[in-house]
Amino acid sequence: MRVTVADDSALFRSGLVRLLREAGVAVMGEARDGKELLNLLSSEQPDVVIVDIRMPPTHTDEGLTTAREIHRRWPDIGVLVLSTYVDTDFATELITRTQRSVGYLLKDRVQDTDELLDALKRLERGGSVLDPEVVARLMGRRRTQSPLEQLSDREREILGLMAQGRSNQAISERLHVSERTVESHVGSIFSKLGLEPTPDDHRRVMAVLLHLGGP
Amino acid sequence: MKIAGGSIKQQHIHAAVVVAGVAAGLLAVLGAAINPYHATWVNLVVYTPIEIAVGWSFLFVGLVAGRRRPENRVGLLMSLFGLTWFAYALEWIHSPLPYYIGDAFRSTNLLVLAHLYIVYPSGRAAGKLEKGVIAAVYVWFVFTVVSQTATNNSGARGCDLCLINPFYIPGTGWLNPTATTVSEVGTVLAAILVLGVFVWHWRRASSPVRRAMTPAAWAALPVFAVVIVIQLEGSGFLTDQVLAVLRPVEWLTFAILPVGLLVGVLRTRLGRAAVTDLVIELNRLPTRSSLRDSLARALGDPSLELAFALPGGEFVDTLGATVILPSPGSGRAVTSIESEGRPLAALIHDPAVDEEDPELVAAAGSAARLALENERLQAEVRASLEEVRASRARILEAADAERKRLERDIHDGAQQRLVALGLALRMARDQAANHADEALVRDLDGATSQLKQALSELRDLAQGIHPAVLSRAGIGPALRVLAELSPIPVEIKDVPTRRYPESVEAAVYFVVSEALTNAAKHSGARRVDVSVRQQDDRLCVDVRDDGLGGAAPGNGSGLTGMADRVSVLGGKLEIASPSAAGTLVHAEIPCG
Repeated sequence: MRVTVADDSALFRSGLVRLLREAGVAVMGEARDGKELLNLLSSEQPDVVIVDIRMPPTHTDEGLTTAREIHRRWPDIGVLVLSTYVDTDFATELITRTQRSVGYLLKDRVQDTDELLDALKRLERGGSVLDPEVVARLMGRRRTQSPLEQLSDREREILGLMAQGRSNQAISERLHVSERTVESHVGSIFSKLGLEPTPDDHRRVMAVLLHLGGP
Repeated sequence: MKIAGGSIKQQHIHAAVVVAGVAAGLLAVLGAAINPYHATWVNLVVYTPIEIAVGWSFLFVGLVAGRRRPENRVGLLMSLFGLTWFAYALEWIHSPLPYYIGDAFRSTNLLVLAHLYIVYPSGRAAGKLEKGVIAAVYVWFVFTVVSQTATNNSGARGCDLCLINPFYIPGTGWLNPTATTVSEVGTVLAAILVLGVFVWHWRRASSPVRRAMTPAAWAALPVFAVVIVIQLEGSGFLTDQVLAVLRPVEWLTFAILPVGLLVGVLRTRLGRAAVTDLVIELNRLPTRSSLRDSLARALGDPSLELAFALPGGEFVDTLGATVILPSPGSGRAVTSIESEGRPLAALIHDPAVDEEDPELVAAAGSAARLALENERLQAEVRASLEEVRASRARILEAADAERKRLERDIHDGAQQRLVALGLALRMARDQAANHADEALVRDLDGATSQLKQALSELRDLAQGIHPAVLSRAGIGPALRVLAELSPIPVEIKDVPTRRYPESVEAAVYFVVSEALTNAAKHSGARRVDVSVRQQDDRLCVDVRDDGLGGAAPGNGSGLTGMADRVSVLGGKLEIASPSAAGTLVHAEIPCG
């Protein structure tokens, strides 16, 4: 897998690059901001780009604008946005407004190499990734009179994993149950929440997020 | 109040004119009684008393007006009219010199009348036009007097009692009829011109000036009409019968004239009475606006503005905002009120108020001095308060900028360094695992989990210093983050989607944050409802919990700091926390 990294902190960048290389990921380039990243991409396109949300010049949401621009120009490149803070609205907006191959992880999550590699692989395949902390907060948002209360504990767990962008197979492996069992739970969740079932993983994440993040 | 030396001199002249006028009246009575042509009983019983009454009434009205307004020439001109009214009486002295002097100057009163109406009611010629018209009328008068007197040889026609004109220039007698016609036509034109100027003034006058002019205008109309008609005497249009009626009518119209002028003078006197009313009103402890209103009423100028002097020489309005005094010629007049030699206040008003009665403004200002001093002190305090408020706002802005900078320093510095450290620990752990050094792996795992804890705490700290989401996305997303982090379920009912000034958004955020913290800490509430709504130009923030209540802002609750933050922005924070009925934190913040 080929990856390009963009972050204005040289320290973090070099640490991440080292970690990725040790894990056997080919790092094609490093950029300090969105502009530099787009310049790199126009000569050579990796499979996935890892981009910090807060970069110069405004230090607010360059990551988002850059991610959108990347998807517009090279729809096949997956984008993983890293953030220091949990910004639920931002994450939801990022995932639901992008058609495919987009992820949002907390920056300290990358310490967990397996998680990071798993996320990169999902993005390479066109799936989406959402930080578990964001999902937990989304699910915790409406704690009163919510349809989520109708879900069983297991269903809620599966909903959380779906929202993180995991496939039925990944969920079944994680929970040590058969894929058929997961499928039936998913069907039940969708009917309880009143959602249209969809085979596409990303569309499934969008439907779940729109439900959780909606008014 | 200023009394110029010129006005004292004018008062002496005025007194002399009145004395001369009274004497002239008495002479006229005497002359009428002894003149063989005049001493009929009708004349003595009817016409002479009317003539005397008209002349003296002018003297009297002039005197009253002069005493009311010592600087105004209107009074003097009225009395002069009274004096010149008796010029004809010289004709009753049966001697050539006084007779012809009286004959030449018998119309002087019309000249004075023309002057009076051009300058009425201010007593001064308002501009070049007025000065030009006055000069023209005087030149015209001199011309008619000289041309008619020098060519008048009627006394030489051989009658017994006829007197020879000592001013006659021999050989010019044939010019006399022409001179008379020219004089009559000219007088009619001059009367129309003066009337035109007066009407023009009346149309342009402000309402208090008009109030003084209107009775004078009505009284003047018949006079001017009669003066114009009588000039037609020589043209032969008027029969003797008509003339016999016209003479008494002429006197009657002149008798009405001082009444009109007196009413006008008395009406301006009402302006003075308004000052008296003002003094009474001021004793009823006026509020800010009513002092201005009272002064505006007293001066008859609704556009009046007040400005108060600050010790630095600056002027401020009643609310403490800086006022630039209008410069001369800007269409607004400024009257400065001083107290013990220092400027106290300035009245900014319509220049017409000055024109009508220059001392009225100063009199009203003096009457209101104490109230103005009081107001000035209040305005000074308000200006200081405004300065304090602005300074608090600057301090808060600086503090917020500092918080933002601090958060960014943490984000770009310590947080990145710690995350990088985490990556290094992770790689060290992987290497240790490759070397099957389980003790080192455990140590490194322990270090990693401590680091995660440290990162999490640092993140909360940075978030508390200044929430990045607030600057990025505004109130809604920032409040949702607060709600997510709250240990008690929070329902966000309303939240505006638009962006507001940074200081406003920060105030809303910190109020909600503090209220949620308090609810979580003390109230035992099971849920909290948050609503932020814009009502007109204010943002209304409500945070309501269903807990124990009994919260008070003074108990080091952090809400005191929030109340300060809100009040710097000109808003207010209220806490309703009845015992056992939940707590409502309500803030209203102006949002421009």
